[in-house]
Amino acid sequence: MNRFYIGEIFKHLSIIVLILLTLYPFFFLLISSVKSHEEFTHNFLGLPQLIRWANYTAAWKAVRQYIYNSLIMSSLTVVMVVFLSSYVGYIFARYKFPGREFLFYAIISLLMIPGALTLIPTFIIVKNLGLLNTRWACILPWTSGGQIFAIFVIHSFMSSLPEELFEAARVDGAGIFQIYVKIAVPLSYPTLVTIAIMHFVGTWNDIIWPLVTITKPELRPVTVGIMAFNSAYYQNYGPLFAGYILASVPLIILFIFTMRFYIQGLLSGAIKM
Amino acid sequence: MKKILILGVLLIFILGSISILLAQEKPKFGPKASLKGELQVYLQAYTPRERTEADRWPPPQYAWTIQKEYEKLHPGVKIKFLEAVETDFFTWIQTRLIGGEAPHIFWGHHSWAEEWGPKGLLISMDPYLDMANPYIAGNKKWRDIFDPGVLAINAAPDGKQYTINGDLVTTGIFYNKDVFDQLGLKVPRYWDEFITVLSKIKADGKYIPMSWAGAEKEVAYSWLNRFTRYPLYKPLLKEFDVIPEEKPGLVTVKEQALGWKKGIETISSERWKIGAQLQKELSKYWSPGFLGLGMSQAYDQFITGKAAMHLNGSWQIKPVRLDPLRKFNWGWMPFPVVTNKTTKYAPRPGTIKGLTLGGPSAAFQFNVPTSAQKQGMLEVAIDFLMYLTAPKNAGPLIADLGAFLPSIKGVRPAKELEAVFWKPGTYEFLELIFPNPGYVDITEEAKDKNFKLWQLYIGDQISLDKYVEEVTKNVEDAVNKLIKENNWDFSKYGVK
Amino acid sequence: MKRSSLLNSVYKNKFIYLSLVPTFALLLTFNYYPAINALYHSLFEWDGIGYEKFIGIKNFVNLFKDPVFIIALRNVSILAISGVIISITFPLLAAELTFNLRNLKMQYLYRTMFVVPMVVPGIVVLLLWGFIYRPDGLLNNFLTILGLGSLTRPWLGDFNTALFALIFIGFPWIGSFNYLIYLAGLQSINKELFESSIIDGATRLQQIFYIDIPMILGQIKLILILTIIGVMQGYTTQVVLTQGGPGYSTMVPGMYMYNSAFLYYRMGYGCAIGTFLFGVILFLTIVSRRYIQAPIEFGGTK
Repeated sequence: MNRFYIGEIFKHLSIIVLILLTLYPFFFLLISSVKSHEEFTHNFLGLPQLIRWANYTAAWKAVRQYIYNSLIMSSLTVVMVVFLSSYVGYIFARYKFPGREFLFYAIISLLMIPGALTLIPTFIIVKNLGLLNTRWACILPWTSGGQIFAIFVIHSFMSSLPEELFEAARVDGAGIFQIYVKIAVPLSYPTLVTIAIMHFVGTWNDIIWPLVTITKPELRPVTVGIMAFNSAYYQNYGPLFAGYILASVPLIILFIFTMRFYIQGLLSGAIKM
Repeated sequence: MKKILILGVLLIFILGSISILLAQEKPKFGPKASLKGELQVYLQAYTPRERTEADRWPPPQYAWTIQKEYEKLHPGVKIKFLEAVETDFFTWIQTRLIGGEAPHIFWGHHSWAEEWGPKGLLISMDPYLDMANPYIAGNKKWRDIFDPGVLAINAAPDGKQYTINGDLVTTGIFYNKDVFDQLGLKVPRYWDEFITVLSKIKADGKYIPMSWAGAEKEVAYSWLNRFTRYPLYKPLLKEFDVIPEEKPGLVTVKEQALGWKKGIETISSERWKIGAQLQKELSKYWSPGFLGLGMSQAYDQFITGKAAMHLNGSWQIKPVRLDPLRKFNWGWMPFPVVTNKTTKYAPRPGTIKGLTLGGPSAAFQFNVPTSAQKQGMLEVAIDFLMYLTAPKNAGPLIADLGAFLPSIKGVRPAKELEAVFWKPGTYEFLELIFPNPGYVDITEEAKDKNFKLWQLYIGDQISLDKYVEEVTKNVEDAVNKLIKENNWDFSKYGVK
Repeated sequence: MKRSSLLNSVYKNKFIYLSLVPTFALLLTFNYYPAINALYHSLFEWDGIGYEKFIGIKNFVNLFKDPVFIIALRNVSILAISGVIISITFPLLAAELTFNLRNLKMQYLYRTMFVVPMVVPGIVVLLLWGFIYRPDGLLNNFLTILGLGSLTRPWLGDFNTALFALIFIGFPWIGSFNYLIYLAGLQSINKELFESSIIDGATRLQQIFYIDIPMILGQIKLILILTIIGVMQGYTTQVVLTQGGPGYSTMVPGMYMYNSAFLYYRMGYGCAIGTFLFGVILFLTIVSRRYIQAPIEFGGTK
C-alpha cells in the first residue's frame, strides 16, 4: 500500500458517501411508498416491516388517466422548445446583425422576472386567447418561458464551435437554414438532448400553472392528479409517494435511454458565462 | 254599463290567467323551470369520489345521488363536480375568479367572500333569498330556512349576502380518557381548572399535556385568540353592537371598525394584555417546539398517545373514531372558559357555559361568481343551490360526510356527531355573537401579520409592550383600509 | 450616411429577423407583456381586482419603511450568500473527486449516480426535510444516539435555527446540473497544462487553485448567477415548510410579494417588491459578470 492507493481509496470513499447522501431522498421516496399510514406515522424513516402494494394500486388508479396528458403536454413543449431555442441560439451565436446583443440580452433578462409576479397577468392573457382548459394553456407558456434558458445554453455551445465548420458550408453556398439543419443541429445533438430532458422533467413536475389553467379533470397532468392524495382532510403519504414514483416511471424510462446524451450534452456544452 | 263591467272583469280574468299561464310555463326556478347547460360545481369536502385502497374510511358519495335526481328533474342540465384541489386552493380560486373563470358554484370561506363580494366578483344572494324555494314545500322565502345568526355572520361589509351556508363546524378539545382516569383528572370547565389539569399532567411527566400546531395560523392562533378573549370581551357586546342596520346581536366587521375609531377598547388596554398573558400561560403546556408543528403532526402526537389533549374541529371526529393508531378511549370537551376567578374582566362561572368556535365556516359555504351570469349559468346555479339546500337533500349530504353539523332549519346531524358534539345549551357558538374579540383578525392581512407577531411574543422574542405596539399599528392600518374601501361614514356616531 | 448603412444591413438580414418572429411573438405574449404589466402596476395602489390608483413611487418608499421587508431582505441576503458559497464548493468538490479518479468505468458509474435523483420532484425533497427536522425526526434521533441530546431542538420551530435549517436542506447540495457543468469545465482543460505544472513540481492541491479554478471561472460564474437568480426569487421552501415563520425568521421578499399580492389584496405593493427583486438580480448579474472576468464570447462572423 503506497500513498497513491490510499489517495484513490479515499477519493472513492468520499464519493460513495456523497452519492449515498444525494440518493437518500430517492431511497426515502421508495420505502415510504410501500408503507401503511400506521407505519408511516410511527416509523417514517426506517424500512417498512410490511410491504403494502395497495398503495400502488390506489395510486395507479389516480395516475393512470393523467399520464397521457402529461406525456402529450411535456413532449410537445419539449419539441417546440428544442426547435425554437436551437435555431435562435444558433442565429445569435453565428451571425452578426444590427441589434444582436440587445435582442439577446432582452431575452436573457427575462430569467430575472419573479414568477409569482406574472401569474395573474399571464393567466388573463391565456384566458383572453381562449386557451383555458386546453392543453395549449400549458404548452405555449411553457414553451415561451422554457426557450429563455435553452437559448442561453445553446448560444453558449454554438459560440464555442470553431468557425471553419460553418465557413466551409458557406463557401459551398449553403443558406442560413441549410447550415442550421446540416451542421448546427448534428453538432449540438447532445446539447439538444440535455435541453429536452431538462424541460421534460421541469414541465412534468410543474404543479401551480396546470392547476390554475386546467380544471377539466380529463386534461389534467399527472402531478395535479396525484394531489388528490394530499389534502387537509385526508392525509396519506404512502399512496402519495407511490403516485410520485409511478409518475416518474416515464421519466426513468426516458433517462435510461438518454442519460448518456444528457451527461455528454452538459459535458460537451462548454456552458458558461 | 253592466256590459262594460262584465267585459272589464272578463278582460282582467283573461289577462290574469294568461299571465299566470305564462308565468307557469317558464318559472325561473324550481322543478318545472326549463334550464340548460353544464353546471360546474366545487363542493370541497362534499365532493364525491370512489373509495380507493388508500382510503382509511369511506369517502363522501351522496352528492352523486343529488346530481342524479337533479338531472332527472332538469334533463337539460348536466352537473359536473370538480375535484378537490386543496393544496394551493386559494391561489387557484383567486386566479380563476379574477380571470372570470371560477366554477359556477364553488366553496369559498365566507371571510374571503366578504372581500370578493364588495369588489364585484360574486353575485349577491339577497334577491334570491327573498324568493320562494320551490323545492321546499310551503316555503315563502328561501331566507327562512337559514339561521338568522348564520346569515348575520356571513354578511359582507357592504351588508350583502354572498355566501349560501348549510353547515357549522364546531371545535373543541379531544382528550385521552385513559390518561385522565389514570391521573384521576376531571374534565375542566373553567380556565383555573384547566390550568390545574394541565399542570398535573405536566408534573406526571409521561405525556405532553396538550399538542399544539403553533405553525398553523387558523387553529393555533386565531382560534386561541377567540377562545381566550371572548369571555373578556363579551361584557362589551352592547357597546360594540350599535349600528342598527348591522344585524343586532352580532358584532360585525363594520361595528368593530367603528368601535376601534371610537376607542371602546384599545390594544394597549389591560383587558387586551390579559388575553395575551393567558395565552402565554397556556403555552407552557404545549408540545415542545410547537411553533414548528403543523396540524397533522399535532394530531399524530395525540392519536399515538403521546399528548393527552388536542385542539381540533368536528371534522376530526371521524378520523379519531376510526383511526387504528388510537389505542385509548377518547372524549371531547368544549374549550374551558375564563372566569372572574382568573381576571376581573371575565364574568363569573356559569355565565358562559362552554366555548365552541367555527360556526358557519365549514364545507357547505357556496358562492356564485359574477362570471356565471355572463356565461348564462346564473339561473341554473341559483336553482341548484336551492335544490341543494332543501332539507331532504342537504340533510343526507351533511350526514354522509359526518364531519359537520347542519345549520339549515329542520335538518338533524349525523348520529355519531349528535352524541358528542350536539348538545344545545352546553356551549356558545361564539362566532355567532362576537366573532373577533380584540380586533386582531379584522382583515386577512391583519390576521396574517398579527399571527407572526404572536409567534414572536409567545416564543419570547419580543416583549408584551412591543407586541401591543405592533398589533396596534396593524389594526389601525386594517381599519383605515376597510373604511376607505367600503366608504363607511361614521360621522353620525361622532367619529370623523 | 451611417444611418443608411444601418438600414442597409438590417435589410440584408431581413431573413434573420423574420425567422426570429415566432420566438419573439411567444415571448411578447407570455413573458414581456405580463412582466411589463407587473412593473407598470408597481406604481399603483391596486387590489389586483378592480380598484386602481396611480401613486407614483409611494410603494417603493413604503417598502423601505416596512420592517417586514427589511427583515426579508436580511434573510434573503443570508440565503443568497450561503447559497452562492454552497453552489461553488460542494458540486465542485464532487466534480473534482470524480474527475481525478483513475478508473474510468467507476467515474462513469459515479457520474450516473449523481444524476439519478433528478427524477425526484422538488416537493418530495422538501417533505423529506420536513420529516428530518421534526421534533421527533431523524436529526434529533441521530443527535440523541450520538449522545448529543442537549443539542436537539425543533429545528424549524426555533427562531435561531429555522433559517439555517432551510439553508441546510439538500445537503450535500450536489445538484446534477451544477455537478455536470463543473465536470464539463474540468474535462475541457488542456491536459498539457497539468503536465507542465507537474514538471514544475506542483501538487494536485496547488493545481486545483492555480489551474482548475481559473480555467473554469466561466462555469463558476454561470452557477453563481443562476444561484443568485434562484435564491432571490425563491419562496417554494417557505410555502411548503415554514410560511416565513416562526415570526419572520424565514420570511423572504418572494414570499412577502406572494402574500401581499394574494392574501393582503395589495397587488401594487407586491408588484413593487417584484420590481425591486428584478432590479437587484439585474444589478448582481451585471456586477458578477463585470468583476469576474471571462465574458460571453460572441464568436462567429459573416
